[in-house]
Amino acid sequence: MVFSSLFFIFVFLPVTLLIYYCVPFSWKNGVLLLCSLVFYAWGEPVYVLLMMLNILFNYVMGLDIQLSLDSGRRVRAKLSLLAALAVNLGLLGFFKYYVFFVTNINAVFHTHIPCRDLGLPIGISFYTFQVLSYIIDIYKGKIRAQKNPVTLGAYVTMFPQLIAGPIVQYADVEKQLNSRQINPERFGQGMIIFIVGLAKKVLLANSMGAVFDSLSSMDTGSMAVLGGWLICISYTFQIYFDFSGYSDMAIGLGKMLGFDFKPNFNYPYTAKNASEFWRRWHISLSGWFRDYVYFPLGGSYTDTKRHIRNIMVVWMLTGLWHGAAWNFVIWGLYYGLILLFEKYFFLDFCERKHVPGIVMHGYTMLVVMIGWVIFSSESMVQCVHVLGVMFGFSSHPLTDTVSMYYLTSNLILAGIMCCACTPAAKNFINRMEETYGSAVQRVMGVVYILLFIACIAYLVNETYNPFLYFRF
Amino acid sequence: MDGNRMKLLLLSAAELGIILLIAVFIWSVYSSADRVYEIMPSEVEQAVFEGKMPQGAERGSALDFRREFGMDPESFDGVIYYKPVSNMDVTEVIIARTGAPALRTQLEEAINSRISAQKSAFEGYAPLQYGILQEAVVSVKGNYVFYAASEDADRYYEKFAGALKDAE
Repeated sequence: MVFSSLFFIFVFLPVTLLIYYCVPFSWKNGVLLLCSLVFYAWGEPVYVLLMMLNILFNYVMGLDIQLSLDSGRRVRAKLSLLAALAVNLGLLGFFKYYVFFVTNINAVFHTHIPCRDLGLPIGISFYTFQVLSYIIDIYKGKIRAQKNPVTLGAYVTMFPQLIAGPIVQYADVEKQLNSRQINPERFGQGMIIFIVGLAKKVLLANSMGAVFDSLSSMDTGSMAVLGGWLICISYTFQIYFDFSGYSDMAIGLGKMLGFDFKPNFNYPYTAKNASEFWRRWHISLSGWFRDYVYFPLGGSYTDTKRHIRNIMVVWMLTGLWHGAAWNFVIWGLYYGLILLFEKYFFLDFCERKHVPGIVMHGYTMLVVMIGWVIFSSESMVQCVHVLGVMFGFSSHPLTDTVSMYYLTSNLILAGIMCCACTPAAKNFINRMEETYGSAVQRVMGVVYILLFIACIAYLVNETYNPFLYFRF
Repeated sequence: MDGNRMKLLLLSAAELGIILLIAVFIWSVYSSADRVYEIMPSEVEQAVFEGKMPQGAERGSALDFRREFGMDPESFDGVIYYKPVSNMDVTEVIIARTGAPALRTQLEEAINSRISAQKSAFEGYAPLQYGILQEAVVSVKGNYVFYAASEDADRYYEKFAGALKDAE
């Protein structure tokens, strides 16, 4: 089940909200847990058992670590933490990386270790990182173990962010699990955020995704340079609106349920360097790696050699988190090198030379788009082909009729997307509200309703509705 | 034994119990999961056709594959595609390997759509071709997708299954 589906919008969500709002507060976490399990089981009837066992295991481990710390048994607490890390990361590693490692070992060492295609449990990367934040924060003393398994279960399985984030750290929602405000105003705010996210996903991402799929299925051997760039640009737009749209929907749903999740995207395509880009893109993931990998390794408060090691470890893991394939590892290492280059040379150089902001923005978009080519490629061979086409190697013509057709027929859409990548619309609305007050709010209310109707019309009409980050 | 020690003992027992349950779950999922065959599609092709071209078919290009099935063959680990030699032929074979379950499902759906379209085209006036399409074999085995519309479809499938079994 996906948020951008008619069944979710008109059946699951209304039924869930109705039950949720009607029951007493003490029952709400239970209702949330039950509905979230139904949501997950809809797509994963088998792996829902794995998730339930995972929650039970981490519930018990959390109590174990807390009790060990409270009774002064630090060694036992540490052993329990290590055991919890081993089981959680072991499960993630097994389901996500087992086939990748075995096939690579077989290829390199000419062995014949058998392996089976287990299929990736949806959302395992997200909910594993959530439970790890819970366990580690108990050990660090940042939070206390949750004694109510239903409350912990509600935190892990919460359907708004269960299968595609944002990754919510337990410490950020601990208070809200026990006490949260549910009122018409918050429902309205959540609905607006949900509609905006739905529009991003359905109207923008899916449209550009169709362009990307169409172009990328063509033979790159005879493609024009413009065609290569259109593949890259269309994917750049698709992945942003797809993922940020889904995050917005998750945040909006959370608000309807009384939860405030932190934003996951902050207009990343307005960044002026790659470091800033990663402070604006998938903020919950980069925050998780910063708090639980980078800082424990020493962060930047160490010598240069260790700092470089820390950056490369974090980025290799970031790449691996996204998928069990070499292109993701290379994508992660690519960003590790770019960030080191910026930190130790480029940003200081640009500051000294007073490089204009627009040039820095152009540099950032080039770095990001090349990164997306690596990220989206099914193989490194395909990646090299597309980059070769984009940069004019192999004597490709600059344009051809196909690429010109795609450019001219999607120019307006691309223009809309460029605006939507910036806070221009939001700032305009805020200025109008300051000037004209509630009249603007009424107009915007009508706009959101029309946007919602447009999304529904699109969903009814179209069958193309992929979601890119589901595979993580 | 103090109260905390007893509680920790019980928690340890619970942890071991849950780990055991997880292990049983994983084992049951693993033993029913699709096998990943590392044999190359070209080797499977050799085993199926033994160096001969299937009658009524010729080697199809990536462009042919894209046109007929709407999928990029470069998305797969390898695709062997034989297309009909003429508009009146229906002999067609695909041997495709991919680690992505979604791609296998997508290809299977595309093949079934192709068969339906071909049947509509030949129904009523080309009974031989229609009969071949009726008996077409479509199979997803582990990370392989096999499709054969041919008078020898069953034989090709047996050789295909045998090649994968030998590779285990």
